[in-house]
Amino acid sequence: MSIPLLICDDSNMARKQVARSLPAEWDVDVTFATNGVEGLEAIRAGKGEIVFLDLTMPELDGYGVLEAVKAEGLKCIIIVISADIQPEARDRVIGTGALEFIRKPINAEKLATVLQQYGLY
Amino acid sequence: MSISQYSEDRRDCLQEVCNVALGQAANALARQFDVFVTLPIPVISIIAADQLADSLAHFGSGGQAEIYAASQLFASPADGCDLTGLALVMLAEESLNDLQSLMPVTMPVDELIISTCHSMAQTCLDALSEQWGLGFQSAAPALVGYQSLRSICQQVVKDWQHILVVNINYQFEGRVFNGNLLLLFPDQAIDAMAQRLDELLA
Repeated sequence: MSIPLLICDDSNMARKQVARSLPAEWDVDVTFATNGVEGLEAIRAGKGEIVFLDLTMPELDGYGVLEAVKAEGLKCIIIVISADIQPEARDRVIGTGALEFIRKPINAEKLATVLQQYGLY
Repeated sequence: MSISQYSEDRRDCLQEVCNVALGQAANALARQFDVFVTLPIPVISIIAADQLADSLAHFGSGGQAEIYAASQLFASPADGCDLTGLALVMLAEESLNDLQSLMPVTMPVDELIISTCHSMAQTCLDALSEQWGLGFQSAAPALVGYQSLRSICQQVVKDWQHILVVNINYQFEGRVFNGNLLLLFPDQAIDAMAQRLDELLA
């Protein structure tokens, strides 16, 4: 069965970059969200077993999504993909439940390395 | 010309390219001052060149505090200097005082502005040009008194019709600091940038 995968980023280009970087043979069912509110709704609806999450977004940012997921005890694996390369940003998201942090701009190689590292692909 | 004539795809792409660039600039600032920088969403607009002075006046209208500014022209020989522009860093006096209090020893104000400008503007320009494969070369930042900002901007932009403005507002978490980087791109740069963005979108 396909894995429900959510890509949550306010930038259309960034969403496409992530989608294009997914391993070709990976059996996933991709949903897109354009801000944290939409993203959270999709996670609640079971569309995000694995979530690729941006941090800087309108409505609700990535930190807000991570906190809500934690508070509501939602089951999902969150990998943050962000341009915020401050070491503290990474520490904060890992501390709030994200599995990993990947720097933007994303590419297929980086993503494959992380997915393999955690046995997700 | 207005931002509506810049396609939504291009605007989105420029915003994302700027997002990556300002992430690197924020990291440079964070290391320089040992703070956490709140990453903003860059605001993109296209204005008539003669509106610039009024737009800039807006930054001084918040209070009585003096505004300090530094400007830096940039261009890339790689594309015949088509994609050129002016980076303008604007800091209110209270932001400078905040920076000063973060320094182990008091720095001359001019030096502090220039070194902050390096993190805010130069790091951002380097990251932009890397993504565009251009290799921007920048003039050394020059200090600009706020009172002369109007006239200097009018001098620089006097032959421009339109300006694409990218406004990036850096804030330090839990602190007063609030500084703006404005990237100003003139007409031919708006077209040249459209090409670069379309390449990224292809």
